[in-house]
Amino acid sequence: MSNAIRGIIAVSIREILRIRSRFIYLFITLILPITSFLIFVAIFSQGVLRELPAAVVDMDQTAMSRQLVRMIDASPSVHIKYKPLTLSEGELLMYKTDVYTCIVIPKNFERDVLSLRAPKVYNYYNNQYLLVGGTMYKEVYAAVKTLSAGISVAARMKKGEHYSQALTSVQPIEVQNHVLFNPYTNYLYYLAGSLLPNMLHIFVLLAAILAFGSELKDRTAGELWRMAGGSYMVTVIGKLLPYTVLFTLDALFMNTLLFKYYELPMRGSIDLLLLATLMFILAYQAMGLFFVTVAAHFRMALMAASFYASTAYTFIGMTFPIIAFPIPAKIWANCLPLTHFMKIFINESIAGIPHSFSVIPFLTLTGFVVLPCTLAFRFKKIMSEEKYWGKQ
Amino acid sequence: MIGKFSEFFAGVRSSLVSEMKRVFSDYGVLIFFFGVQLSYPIIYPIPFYHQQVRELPVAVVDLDNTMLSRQFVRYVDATESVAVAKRFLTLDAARISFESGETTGIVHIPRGFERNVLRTEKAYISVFTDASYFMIYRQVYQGVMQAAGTISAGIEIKKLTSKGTPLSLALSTMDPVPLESVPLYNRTGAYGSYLVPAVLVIILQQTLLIGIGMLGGTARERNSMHYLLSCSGRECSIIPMILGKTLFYTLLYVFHIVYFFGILFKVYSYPQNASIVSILVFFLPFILSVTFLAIALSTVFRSRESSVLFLLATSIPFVLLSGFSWPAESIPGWLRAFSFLVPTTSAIEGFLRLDLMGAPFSAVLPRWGTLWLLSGLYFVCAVLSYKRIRRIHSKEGMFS
Repeated sequence: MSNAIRGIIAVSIREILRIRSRFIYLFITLILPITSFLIFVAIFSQGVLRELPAAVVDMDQTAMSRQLVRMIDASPSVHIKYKPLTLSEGELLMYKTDVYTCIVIPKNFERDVLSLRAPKVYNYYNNQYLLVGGTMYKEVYAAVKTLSAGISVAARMKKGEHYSQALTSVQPIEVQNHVLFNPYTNYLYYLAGSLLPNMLHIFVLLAAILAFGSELKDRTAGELWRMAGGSYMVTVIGKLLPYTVLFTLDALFMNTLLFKYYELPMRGSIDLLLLATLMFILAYQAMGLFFVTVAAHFRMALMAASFYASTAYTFIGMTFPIIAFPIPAKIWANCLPLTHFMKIFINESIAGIPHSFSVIPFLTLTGFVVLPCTLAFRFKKIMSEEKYWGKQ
Repeated sequence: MIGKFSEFFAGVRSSLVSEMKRVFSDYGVLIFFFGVQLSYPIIYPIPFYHQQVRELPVAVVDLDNTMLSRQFVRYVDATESVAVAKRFLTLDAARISFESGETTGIVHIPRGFERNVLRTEKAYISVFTDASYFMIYRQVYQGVMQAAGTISAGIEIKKLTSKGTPLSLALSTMDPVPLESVPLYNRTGAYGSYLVPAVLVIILQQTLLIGIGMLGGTARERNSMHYLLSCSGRECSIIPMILGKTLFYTLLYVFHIVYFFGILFKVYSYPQNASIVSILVFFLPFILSVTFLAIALSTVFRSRESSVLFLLATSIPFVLLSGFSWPAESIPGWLRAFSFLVPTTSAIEGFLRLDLMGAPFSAVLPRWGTLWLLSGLYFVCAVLSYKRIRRIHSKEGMFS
């Protein structure tokens, strides 16, 4: 037993020396991850969508139309930047994405509203930019509806209804929205919570492939295998240990960003989440080992991992939900440790639902961690037989 | 003079030929110049093949059980965005189903719902949603709102018309300032045509950077730097050499651009509002600037796998910086300025406007101009980097 521990320490020290010898190692385990996280923080530093540019074509120019413009401008995400005189000017502004929405108030607006002729106000919004379009559309809608409701109430009161009666008539059924999870409906919470782990997993996977693949390519696999006394566990654990430490540091930085800087709610168990983060790192290290074992070829394993990692984000269902995937996509989603980690992450942080729902994803992550062991016999072969070495 | 010109063109041509030979004989590199372009654009859109999220399962707790409440539930079921999947007698039972993910929302109708409406008192419906999955949240909430709005309108119209008000007046009394919201460019809010175009442009850039970088790293590793120093064995000067390579990659990527935005877009029924010619014209300085940048970077990589390891993880930051999702206006000014050094920042924005939105070319001229500036800048970088390599190797006498 202590032989194994001595072996692991020896292999780890050898690995640390390797990490120090070439810039790429430090780059991919520390420099790039931390920089990427910081760039993310910088990009989203505004936190919420605010004061996005809009245009209004006010063909009426009356007190009421100007009031409507003011109400729209008062919306947090809308900033009326341009007041073009014609619709075609507004269209050009939309084409140049100088504005994301163009509101048109028709001629004789005030006159028609007061005489209950219901003149239509048009809201042309850019729906190619889904996030922006959706946000601004909601707020413009709310502003116009408020004005409309106010006038409707006033009209009814003139007809003799009581104020409260009039209010009810305008909206007889009110839908009360109880947002159970992510109660701030903060888009950034779940964007940060999904993108940061997504970025991290790429580094973990690539580093693991670099670690094992380079031994094959540089023909040093045999030396490593001998140092580890021909033991699968000693080799794998010793080799990956320094990276696990480094990536755990990255992950701690990431979780600090998420829970301290972004103040993501932590409504579940932080211990379970940190443990899950560790399993997540181990799972992707295991997948890196798995790819190298199967391919027995540094570059090919790297290609496979590139595909596996760079297509992952759309499959984890954080943007377009998994429930709406076609079946092959659902299957592939489950082949990604990231999907299972995200379930635990959401459960324990934003959602705060009972821990029992995190058990199965956790067990699945564990399954990924032990997966490469099924190919231990092949690993032994490629580590000791020269024909697997030196491939480009 | 003529001699100089023909020498120049000979250099360009032999550089093009040698680059072509080099690429087509290297399977690893071919993956980045063909493999990725053929496979990724097919894989990426698969999850949102259905383009929209429809018929999300919701749970209903109808404690009123009257004609009106049942009608409301029917309306909720009838909306495209949600479907009534389960009915429960208590909110607690529904909650378990919600938390397990079996349903994505709960609609709760309290006792006395119909009575309140008939008495012209405010009637409340509660909807419980999960905002940790944003699209689900929005659809469930909007679906229920839509049903509530339809029924509300129906109730009011009945009341007013039963008192003798003509229908049109009833409508304008209820909603004196009607709003017509017109979604432009992506009428149905399809998720694929929102995401995939930006991804395809990133693929064009990253494959060029990584592929050319791989060639550079391989040459460095195998000490065959002579490929950077001569064209098919003859002496040639740096500029024709760079231009020859660039010409090869430009031709190759013209092919990819036509494949992506001409053929694949048609297969996926994405909007195609610009002619393939204007798309090619727009992307020309993009391909040039990326190729020059790739050539300059390739002199830095020391091994075959370096470019992948260094550049793979840059895809996500680059795509975020393009402003196609989180808008440019919300990105800090200094970061936005730096992001223009990355060709995709201008290319994605301009392409979305040109093809997805149908803007006239004049609307994308500023972005096009930026790409030309980058082409000039990175051309200079490429020339300088090759000069540096030559200097190093002539010192070592490796000029062959």
